[in-house]
Amino acid sequence: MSDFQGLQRTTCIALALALLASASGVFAQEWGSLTGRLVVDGSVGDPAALNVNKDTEYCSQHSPTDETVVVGEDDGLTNAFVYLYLKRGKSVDVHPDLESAAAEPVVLDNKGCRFEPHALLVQTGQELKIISSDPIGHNTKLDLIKGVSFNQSVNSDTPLSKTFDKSEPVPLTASCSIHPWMNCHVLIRDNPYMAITGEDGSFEIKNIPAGEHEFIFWQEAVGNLKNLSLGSAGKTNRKGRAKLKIPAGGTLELGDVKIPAATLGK
Amino acid sequence: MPATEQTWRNHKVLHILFGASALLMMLATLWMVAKDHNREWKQWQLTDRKKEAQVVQARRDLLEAQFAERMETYSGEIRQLSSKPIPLKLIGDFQGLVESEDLRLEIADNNFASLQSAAESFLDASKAAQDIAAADKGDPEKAANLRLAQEAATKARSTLFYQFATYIDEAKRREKLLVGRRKFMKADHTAAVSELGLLVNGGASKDKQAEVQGKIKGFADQVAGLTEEISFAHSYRTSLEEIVDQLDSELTEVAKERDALKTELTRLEDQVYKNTSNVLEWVTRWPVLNALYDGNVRIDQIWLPDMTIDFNFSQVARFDRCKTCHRAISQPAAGTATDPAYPTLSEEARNLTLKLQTPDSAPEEGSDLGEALEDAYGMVLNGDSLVGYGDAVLVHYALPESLAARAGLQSGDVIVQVGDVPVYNPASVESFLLKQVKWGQSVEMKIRRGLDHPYTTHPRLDLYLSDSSPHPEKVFGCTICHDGQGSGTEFPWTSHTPNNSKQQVQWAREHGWFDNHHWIFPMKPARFAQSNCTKCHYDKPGLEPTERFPEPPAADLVEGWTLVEKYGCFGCHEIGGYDGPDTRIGPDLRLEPNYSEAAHQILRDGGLSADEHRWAESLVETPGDAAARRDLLIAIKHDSQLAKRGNPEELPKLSAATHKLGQSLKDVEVPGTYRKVGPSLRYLSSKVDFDWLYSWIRKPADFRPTTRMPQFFGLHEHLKDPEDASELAESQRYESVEIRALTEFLLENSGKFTYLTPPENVTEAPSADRGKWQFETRGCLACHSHEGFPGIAANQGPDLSRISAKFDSEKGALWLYSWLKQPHLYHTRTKMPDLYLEPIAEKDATGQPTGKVTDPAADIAVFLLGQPVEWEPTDVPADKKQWSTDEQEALADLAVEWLSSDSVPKVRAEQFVKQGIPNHLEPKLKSDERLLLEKNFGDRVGALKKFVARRTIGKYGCFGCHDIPGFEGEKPIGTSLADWGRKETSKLAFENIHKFLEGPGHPDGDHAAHGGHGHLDPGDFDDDTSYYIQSLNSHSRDGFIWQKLRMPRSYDYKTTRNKGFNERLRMPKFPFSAEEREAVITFVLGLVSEPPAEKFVYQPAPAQQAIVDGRTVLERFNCAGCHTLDMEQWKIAFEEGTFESPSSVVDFPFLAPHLDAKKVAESLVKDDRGHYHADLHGLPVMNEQTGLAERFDEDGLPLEPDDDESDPYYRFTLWKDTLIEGEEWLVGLQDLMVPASRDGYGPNDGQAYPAWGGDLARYLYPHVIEHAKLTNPQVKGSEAWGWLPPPLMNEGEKVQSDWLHGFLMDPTELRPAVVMRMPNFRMSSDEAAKLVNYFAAASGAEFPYEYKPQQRASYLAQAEAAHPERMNQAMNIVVDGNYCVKCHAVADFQPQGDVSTFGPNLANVYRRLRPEYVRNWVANPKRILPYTGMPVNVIYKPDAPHLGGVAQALFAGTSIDQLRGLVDLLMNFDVYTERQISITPLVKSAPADESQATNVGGADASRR
Repeated sequence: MSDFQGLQRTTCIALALALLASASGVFAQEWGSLTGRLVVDGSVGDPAALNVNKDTEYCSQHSPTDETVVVGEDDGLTNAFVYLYLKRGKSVDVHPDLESAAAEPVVLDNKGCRFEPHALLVQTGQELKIISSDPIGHNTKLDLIKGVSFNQSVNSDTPLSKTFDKSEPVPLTASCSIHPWMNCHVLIRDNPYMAITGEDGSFEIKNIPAGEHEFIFWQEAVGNLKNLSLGSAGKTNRKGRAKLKIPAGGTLELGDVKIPAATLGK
Repeated sequence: MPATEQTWRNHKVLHILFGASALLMMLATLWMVAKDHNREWKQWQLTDRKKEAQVVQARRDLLEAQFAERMETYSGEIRQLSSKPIPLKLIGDFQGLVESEDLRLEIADNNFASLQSAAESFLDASKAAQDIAAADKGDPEKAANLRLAQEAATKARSTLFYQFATYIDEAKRREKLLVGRRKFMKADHTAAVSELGLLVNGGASKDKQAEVQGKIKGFADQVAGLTEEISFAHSYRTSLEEIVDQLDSELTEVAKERDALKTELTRLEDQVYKNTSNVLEWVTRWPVLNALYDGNVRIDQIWLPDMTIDFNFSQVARFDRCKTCHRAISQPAAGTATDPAYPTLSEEARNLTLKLQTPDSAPEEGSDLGEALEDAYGMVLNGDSLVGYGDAVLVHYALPESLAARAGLQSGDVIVQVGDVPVYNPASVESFLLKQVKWGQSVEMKIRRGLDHPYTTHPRLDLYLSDSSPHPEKVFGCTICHDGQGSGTEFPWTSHTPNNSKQQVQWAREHGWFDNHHWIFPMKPARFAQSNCTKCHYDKPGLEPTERFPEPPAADLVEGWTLVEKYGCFGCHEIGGYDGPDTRIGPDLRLEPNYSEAAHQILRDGGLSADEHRWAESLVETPGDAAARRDLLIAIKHDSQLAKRGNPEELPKLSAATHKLGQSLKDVEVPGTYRKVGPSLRYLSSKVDFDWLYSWIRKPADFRPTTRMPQFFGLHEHLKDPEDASELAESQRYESVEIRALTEFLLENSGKFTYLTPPENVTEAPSADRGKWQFETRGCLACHSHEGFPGIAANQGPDLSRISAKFDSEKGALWLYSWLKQPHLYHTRTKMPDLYLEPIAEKDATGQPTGKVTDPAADIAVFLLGQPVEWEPTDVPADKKQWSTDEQEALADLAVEWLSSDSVPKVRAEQFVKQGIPNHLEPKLKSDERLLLEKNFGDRVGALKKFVARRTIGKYGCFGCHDIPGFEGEKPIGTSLADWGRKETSKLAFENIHKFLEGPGHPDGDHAAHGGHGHLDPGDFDDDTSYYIQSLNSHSRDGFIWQKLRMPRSYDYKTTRNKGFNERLRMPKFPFSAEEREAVITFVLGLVSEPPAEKFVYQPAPAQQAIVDGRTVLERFNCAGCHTLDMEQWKIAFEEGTFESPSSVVDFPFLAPHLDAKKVAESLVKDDRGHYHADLHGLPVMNEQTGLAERFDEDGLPLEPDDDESDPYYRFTLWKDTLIEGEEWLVGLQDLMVPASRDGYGPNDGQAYPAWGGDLARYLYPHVIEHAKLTNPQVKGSEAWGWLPPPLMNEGEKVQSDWLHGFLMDPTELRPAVVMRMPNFRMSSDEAAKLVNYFAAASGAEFPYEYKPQQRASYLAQAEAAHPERMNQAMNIVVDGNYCVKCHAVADFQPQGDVSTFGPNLANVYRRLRPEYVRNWVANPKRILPYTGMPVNVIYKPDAPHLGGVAQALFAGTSIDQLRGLVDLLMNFDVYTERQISITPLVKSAPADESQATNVGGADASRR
């Protein structure tokens, strides 16, 4: 590339940046939200008790159960992930209100021989604090696809602090090697557009740049929620992704999204 | 007699005669000169030179075209840079320096006028140029103005720099002056010093001395002053230069770049020139002149005085002139070290169809089509041929990233067809591509690529010829490997050997090839090119792939070698690799001495004393026990002497047979190392029944198609002719007698075997379900195949799919149980290990015993015997008890055949067989003939049967593979193969083979009517067969052995009528495929017993030798069946930006990688295509269900099976730190996303070399996950590797040699989590030592001893003085409930929970592991084993107090101290625990009087 071309490109980028700045400042980028509720269609039964064979004296008191599929109020599917999909190398504009969201650390507690919470969201650069409220020793093993995997012990007096520099494509399992039944899922993304379904299965992602985006629906028992009918908004594809149009200044409401119990392996 | 005019002969006639003969001589001389001048090689060389010139020219032109723009800009840039204003500050600095120097030197005011005026005029000119440049931006018309202005500025600049130079020169002058002055002053000083010396010695007055001393001091002071001055002057001068350099730096940079490019172009031009004939050269090539001038066309030879050829009676130096014609043979491709410049391509790779994309729109019309083509497609054509003459359309070059390059066109490709149109000249291609195509679409092009021999390059420059290879051409030449006549310079006389008949016909036609019988080392044909490796490489592992040469160096040869080992050819054909105890002559494949078998047989002797019995038993178990063997041998010798003396008072106790067997116990100079490949038949009757055995001997492949046991009977291809019907009938009749006699004899001759029975504490009945799981996971599948387990096919042991049909009886079941439990009990030399199938106490989910005890051996037996099989013995004699009359007759006739000889006429033999041999003949008889003595003839059939059976075993040499009682002392029956590769062909009995091949043995099937005269025409067959037919036609070894392996009895065609049944060929038929046969031949042909001078023989360094020796043992015991010994190696090429940078991590300083600057630089080198290269070691991430490598999309998500839109990637887990684009990727941190090939397994660009070993581990991976999920659904696949046999790549770095040796001899249970435990192979101490050394050498660790300072008292004392209580504090960490003891047992303490989470007992670490390994492991286990579940407990935080680590309450100190404390504790666990108990209180004091009397220590006293 000649110097001249380089110069041209730099100018273009500068121009584009200037335009962007003016767009968010003067003309105000338009934003919208996405809401919905994942509902289990059918019965998944009671959660199974886990085989607690280590530190039994302490852990049995807390009788941890299998949290692979947790159904809360009104058949809501808890702990499923909904998040924005971005192609490799692409980025998205972030609403000014959300820019500071990553400043606060996310806390993962080893409590009662389980991870609390069972599903969590972390942004790149954000601190993940792993603590232990249990009197017994734990460790946290998190194997990442893009970032650096780790496995370190966590005790009440030696908490861990981690930050991540790479966005991960899916929620990943954190586990405890000492207590093989313990696990939880961590989604690490380089943007704040992600959500975990609450007790009633509902989720909300606010302040998304208006326009069409691709979203991933993911649940730990099955991974990508393929061919999920999203009502009038369409359907997820075989990768569990759906292209959804976020209205400017409004909310795309998916309503109740039904997931047959059978697809959750129940 | 008066003189006359007359002469003796008529003058006229003489004139004519002389005239004619002179003419004739001249013609002959001319003819000779012409013949000599036009030698064949010259033409080859000239053609090759032309090719080389063209190729280099193309490269030069490409470079020029690629950088044409750059070249143009250079001068502009240089002008622009020289007219660029220079910072005034620097001029000021310059002036300042001069001023201060002047001040220092007190020189009158310097006049800076000319410098300033030069600077001003330059700055003015420069500014003018800048102004014009700014105003004229982009205006080409005013460029001339700019140019003028710039030139003016450049001129002004040079004036200015001249001024600078003046000052610098002045500074230099001054410096030089001072230096000169100092030199003289120093000389004066030296002179004064010596003057003083003279004065002192001469006893001069003190005054005089003082005076001179004063002079010396004066000189010294002056020297010191001058030195100071010089340093000022020097610094002044360099400061000035620095400023000028700074001003000039940009310009220098550009000029350097331009010069580098120019140099490269000039270099290429020179190369072209060297390869182009000019007039002068042409003249020097003239006859006579060419003898005076050493031109560029000449014979190129390598002289190898030490690499001799054996010319019978004389060793002659080798002259290899191969490079005279094969000029490019060692030429690497430009920019590479070992890639061939002109690769030999397969025919498919030579004829290519490419798709050339056309531009989106029509290119601009131009007058020059060639230029237009280059503009549009980035391609330039050439109308010449690369080699030979005539027109062609040659791609001169294709610019990188142009349409042509993207289509795959390369320089040197010949375009044959464009679209549907054949093309013959560049113009037609240019006009087609520029005028007749549809824009934006693609055009199909047919091209031909590559060159024929001899213009090509050797395919493996990494191994041969190049200087960096192990066989540089200057040292090894060509013919030591290839054979042939190296001194020849003409095609026919160099003894090339065609690879098939097609090639032969072509060579004969084009090059006058003929089969030169008189040269006894004809070149090896391509198919046997690897044979000669064994001239110097006597151990197979030395020829196997290594990290440096991942591409198998001699795959065919190694395969053949392995087949010979697996099929046990050495059982009959000795392959002795020694000529005397210290002289190697080739590969050594010989049976081990039969000490164990002989001892086994001696044990049958009832007369053994208790000692002799013990010695014999020890020998059976450990044949390497030399002491026991010698003792036993002496005892037997002594006993046999008693027998000879015949003293009735001292009679021998042992039998004559034992005395004879004693001979087998003697020392062997260099013992063989191979075990017999077949199972022992010593206790055969405890294992199988008559029916199965009969059927097996008759045709082994009937029961087990994959068996290695060859077929001895029913090989009658040579008896198919109707006229041989009676011979056929005879063969069949006698063979069935042989089979039956053998079967019965082997069963009757068998010893009594005591079966093992299940232990009493077993509570559960055997279960096939449990057995199946045990069979799958205890390691059986590492060596055996079974139809029930698709996905893994091992062939170390037999296929067990039909085993239930073999053991379909009570004794079969009993035997199988015993065998599984303790294989060595039945067969002491078996390679099947003891799997420790001990009873298992079942545990529930919480790890508590349930009270149930199962027996895995019984479970596996039940599983194997429960598999339904549809096989039954066929053609078995109906009456098993009684021989039928026909059979008896045949038996007797066969016995007659055996007995009759020159000394025993047939009639007599018949009589013997009818009535038995008279007893008085006994002393004259051989041992098996004594079976037929009248006194033994009570059971006539039985005696005959035994006799025939023993003779049959001797005839077929069954004992070469099996241990058969009574045949311990026998020797191999076949020809020795140690020098078969040079066997004189006249000694090969070809007999009627041509007739056979034309008739019943026709390679294409039954062609009885085919031909009928002479030999087969090789041209009628496929390439491979044609080679061997041709070889048979010319009575060569290659064809002989091919036919021998294919149809071993075929050389008996039409000879049987005049040969007794027992004199016929007996070689059995092995179930080789055509490829396997060729591999075996490759190996055998290399057995030439022609060792070259010792320095050429492969003699690895000690570490490499340890690896070679160890690999032999690894292979013997199939260690790689379970363990991964080397991970996959991927050599990848990739574009910039393919990999993101690795994330940085914070870890203990000692874990930081040691970057090798050279390797970093190598990883930053781009190849000609602009690609980087990297070498990855590790494994791609596998799918937990299938166990196959998973493919991912670019985001890192698994690809759906039907997804063909996304680019596929592998996630590659590294097992070795790797450099990618200069950045270090470390083991255990991040996986690499490697672009995958779309067509198959491996990287998109590069090569994947398979892992070595670990098949079972990979097979079991998904199965153990599935099984574990039954009890714990949360199980994660990544941890499953920890339950499987561990990879052993860095085993040597990890374990202590002594521990490993003991472990291999007697494996203890180590990791509770692993589904199987290491079995006991009953290897010898020597074998174990070889393995230990192998592991150490392979991972670069110290061996055979390692020094562990941590275990020395001095180290501990020092460490404890610095930090008292550290051991106790480290113990605090070990026993703290939150750390080690969570998962590790420590001495008697056992952790709680699931065994799959348990680690080894920490109390044993001090014996097992090396200290550095323990430190690194505890610091960050994943860096060593990426899959491990062990967490980092002592965390390193550089910013935290105490650098992180565990709580100070446990261990006061930094994290590094804590780690060191832990290592020291673990490495001294025995010492530490010893300190916890005191022995003194245990000592009982002895009675006072006695202790005083003896005055020994309390401990000793108490022991009494």
